[in-house]
Amino acid sequence: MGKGKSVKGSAKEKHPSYHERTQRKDVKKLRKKASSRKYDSAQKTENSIKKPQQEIEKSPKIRKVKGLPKISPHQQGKQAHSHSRSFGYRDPKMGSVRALIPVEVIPQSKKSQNKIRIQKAKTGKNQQREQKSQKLQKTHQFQKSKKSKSKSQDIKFTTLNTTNVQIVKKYFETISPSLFDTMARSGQFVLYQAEGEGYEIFLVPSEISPLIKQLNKNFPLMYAGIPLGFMKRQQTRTRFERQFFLSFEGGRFLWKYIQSYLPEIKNELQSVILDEDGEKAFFYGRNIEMDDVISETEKLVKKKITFVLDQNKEYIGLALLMVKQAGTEKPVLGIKTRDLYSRSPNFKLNLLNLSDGGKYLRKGS
Amino acid sequence: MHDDTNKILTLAERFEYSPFMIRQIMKNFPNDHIAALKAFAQPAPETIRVNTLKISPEELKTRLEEKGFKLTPVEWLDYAFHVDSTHTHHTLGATHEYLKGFYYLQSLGSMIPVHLLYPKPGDQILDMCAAPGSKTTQIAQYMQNQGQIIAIDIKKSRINSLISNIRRMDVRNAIIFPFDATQLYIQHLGKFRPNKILLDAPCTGSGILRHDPSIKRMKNDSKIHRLRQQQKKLLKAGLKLLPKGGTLVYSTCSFHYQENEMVVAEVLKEVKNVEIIEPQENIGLPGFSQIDDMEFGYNLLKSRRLTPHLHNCDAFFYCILQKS
Repeated sequence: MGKGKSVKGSAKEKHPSYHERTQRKDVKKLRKKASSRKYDSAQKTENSIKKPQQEIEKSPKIRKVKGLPKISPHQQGKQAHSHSRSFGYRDPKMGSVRALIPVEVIPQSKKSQNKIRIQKAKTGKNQQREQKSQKLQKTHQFQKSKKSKSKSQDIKFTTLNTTNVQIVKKYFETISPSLFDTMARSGQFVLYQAEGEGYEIFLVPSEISPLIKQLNKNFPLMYAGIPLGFMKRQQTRTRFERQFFLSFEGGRFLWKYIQSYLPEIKNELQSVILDEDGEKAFFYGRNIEMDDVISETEKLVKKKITFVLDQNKEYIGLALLMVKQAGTEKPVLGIKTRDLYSRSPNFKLNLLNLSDGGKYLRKGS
Repeated sequence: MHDDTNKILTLAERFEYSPFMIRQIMKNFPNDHIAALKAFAQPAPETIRVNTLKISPEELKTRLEEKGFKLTPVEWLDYAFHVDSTHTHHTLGATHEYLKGFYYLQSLGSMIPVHLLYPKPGDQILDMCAAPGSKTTQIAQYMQNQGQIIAIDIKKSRINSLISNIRRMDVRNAIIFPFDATQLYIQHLGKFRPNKILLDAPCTGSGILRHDPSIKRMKNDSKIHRLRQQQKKLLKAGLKLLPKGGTLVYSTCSFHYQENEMVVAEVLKEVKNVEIIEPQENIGLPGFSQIDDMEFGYNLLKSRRLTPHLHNCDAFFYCILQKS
């Protein structure tokens, strides 16, 4: 006891920690709750049990009603509620229609009435539990179905359908108008699509193509040949449209292929050569300003795919030539053509980084 | 006997190994286990494999040397270099040349199995446990992107790293899918008749414990036993897929004979018409024909072992098998 007293008067008691304070509060709350519950339940039982009995005694007319079915204690609540208007009576104290009066009242003991109440409460709780469990089950089922869908949604590796071929062709035309047709005529490659989480397009050498068709029947193919790019739904002004995007590897392949096999198209390609700083920035995934470009920029066309090269003229990625506003001066009248406008001091040329080799580091393996 | 246990305990304390691993090293390096332990204590040399699909070894050497790296050629391969990167601020795994796919960071020991497979342009090659793709990209390099490679791995998560490396190294003739190689049957492969199969089997990785020091603390042989069963299954499946005259290279990055000679010997007892072939080049030491009161047969002297103290690389095991 002595120890306890000393603790009471200690610094800890005077300045309890936050944790201790919250614990004490919780204990107090719990005590209050418990006492209020006891009080409520006692009051409720008194009111609910005593009042109807008194009322029943006071209303002998209702007892005399005949020809109505007996109501079991379980159905009492529901049925009584439904008959409350027709067979109920107005409580002068409450001013409302009392509903919990059975039509043919069988006098019940306090214990049995308590039992009924407990059962009711139990059924109510059970219903709530059931509802909760049903909800949970539904959510589980939904999740399961989602999982099973994702499992079943293995990658479909098929030849490219005609609409997608047209989309790819359109894209190729932005690089060079004759590129797609010349490649198609050569018959060296077959286009495939891998439809899974994404929508990837593969350029498969025609030697491998028949093997892929065979393997596709038995195995879940994920990758074959050259990953040319991917399809994505893009929002236009009026609707969503599927669009093709060239990948880093696809750009690398096209650049090499055109350089070595299609020299007649070479000049149609748009390319820029970067200095060392530009190359570094580009590998870091940044956009490039025209100060870092070594090669000629006068003939560059806006919003056209641009092959980005380093000082050794090696492919390092893809970019898009964009125009940024950099001032508010109005262009001089008379010399306003679209191209000149973009080169006025109000506007700045910028190479938007589409894909670069740094992705292997950024994304990891 | 008492002396032996004392010796094991002192070595375990000195080199920070578990006594079980010391005992294993003493068995697998019978005459020079101290030298092996000392070699394992040294940092592993950095080695790169030049991607000859994209650049010549000479050109890459000059480019990397301009950046401050020191490159020295390795013993058996003319497209690989040991790299000393102490005099440069660049990291070997983040240079522009690396990102362009000009080279692959790969230990010398893991380059040898593909070299022993001798892939040629136009071959049909199956890589049974392909992830993360170091050997698959090396095969494509030998094949000059001509022919067909089927690269499979049982784990879908590992397939992503395989795909990433194949993309970076500009491999164009590979077909990849996740699949259990033990469930692979020739009927399902259609026209694909793999004349060469590479089985770089999953193993304890005791040979590369310099990269993963946690292996030093292995307490018992339960993992070895479990992996041996898997290795046997894979080897049997591989040999079944092999047509007549076809070759299979079995390799592990482990020095435990239980995962190497023992697996080959046990499988060869069950599978007939298969023989072990000696490599054309004199690479490494011959495998064990007998060890620990167990006899594997003289054939296994044709298999090869690399050791860290003699070959300045990780410990590896190779065995070339041919169906007759």
